[in-house]
Amino acid sequence: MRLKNGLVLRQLGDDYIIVEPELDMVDLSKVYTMNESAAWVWYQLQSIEFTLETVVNLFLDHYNLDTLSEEQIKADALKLINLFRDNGLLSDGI
Amino acid sequence: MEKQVVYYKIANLLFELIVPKGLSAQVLLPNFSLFFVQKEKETGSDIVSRIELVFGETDIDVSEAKLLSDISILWGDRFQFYDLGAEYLTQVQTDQTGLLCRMTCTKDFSIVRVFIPKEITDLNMILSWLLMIVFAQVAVFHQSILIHASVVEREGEAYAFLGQSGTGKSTHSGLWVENLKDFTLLNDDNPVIQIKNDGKIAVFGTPWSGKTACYRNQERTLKGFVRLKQSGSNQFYPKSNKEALVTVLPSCSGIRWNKDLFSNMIGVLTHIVKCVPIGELYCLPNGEAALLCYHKISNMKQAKRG
Repeated sequence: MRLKNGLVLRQLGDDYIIVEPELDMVDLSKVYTMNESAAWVWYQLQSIEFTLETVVNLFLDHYNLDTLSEEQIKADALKLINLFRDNGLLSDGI
Repeated sequence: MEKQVVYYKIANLLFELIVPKGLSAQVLLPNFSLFFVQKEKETGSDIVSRIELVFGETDIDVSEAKLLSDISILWGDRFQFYDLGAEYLTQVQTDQTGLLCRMTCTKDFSIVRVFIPKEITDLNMILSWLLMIVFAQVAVFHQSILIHASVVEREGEAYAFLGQSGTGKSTHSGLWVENLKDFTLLNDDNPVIQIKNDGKIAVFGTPWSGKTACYRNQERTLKGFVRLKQSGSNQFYPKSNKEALVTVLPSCSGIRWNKDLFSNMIGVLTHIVKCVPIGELYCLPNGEAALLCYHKISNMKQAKRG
């Protein structure tokens, strides 16, 4: 899967946001907010093809996760990917 | 047909308008007269958009075109905006004759052709509006956004009031002029905000000012945005970060169907939101609202400096 093309994550103070225009005739835009950790993952996944394993490895490389089980880390990574997907931020489902 | 070329500079952006010879641009666009420039004196500026005006109808097949919008507060159901593939088409029936005024634009709005049937009499209104559409899109590629706002200024500093049509933006500007010494109206409907080379945020008067004929060709430093909401009492709420962006975004005039254009606009807006104090005012149409608003928004400015 990939992040949906054309979405730009921007930092505004403590907020990380993506503004996506609504393309039907009603003039509405969606604003998505992420926390710093999700934003960091987003930046790493930009312009690459990735899998659940990619995200798990990002977690393992970046954080000290010795106290967490592999299942727990995998579950958290899946949770994040599902959040991206449920909000339409991925170009391709798994 | 012989042609003549005139140049206008709005918010430091240079536009070329090509019109049939013998037509007076001054008569055609009186609201633009303070923005007229001599090309020879503008050697440092590139032309951001070339607009050619043609009198007569044009055949464009829209059967394969994608209708992007037919919603316009100004024109009601007599407006359509199409994607033709390589270009955008804007068309309006300005009067009861059913004749179509049409405008084709490249997707970056840098090359524009306007076709107005010879029978149309109120040329100023349609042409001025079409030029505003072009300006609003081109602007975002030049660190600028055309916004829907009423702006007051004093001693080089300006404040912009936002809100849906009918909220009382003009009324609130009037209350500042009445109750706060030396404030005057800079623009009443469509000013331009711009990121300057030094990172500061400027606001400019334009040839578009709604129902108020206030076409000042002047630049001021923008010191605050306030979104107005009608209410039974006066209350001010400061906004920051995401909330601040959401406060200003609905008043920005860029179209949403062009990803490149929209993304540029959000980029410009994100920078502006970091630099300019932003708040929301629940207000009555009275002098107290103006005084409270000025006090709160200018104190925010001090807080940001500290």
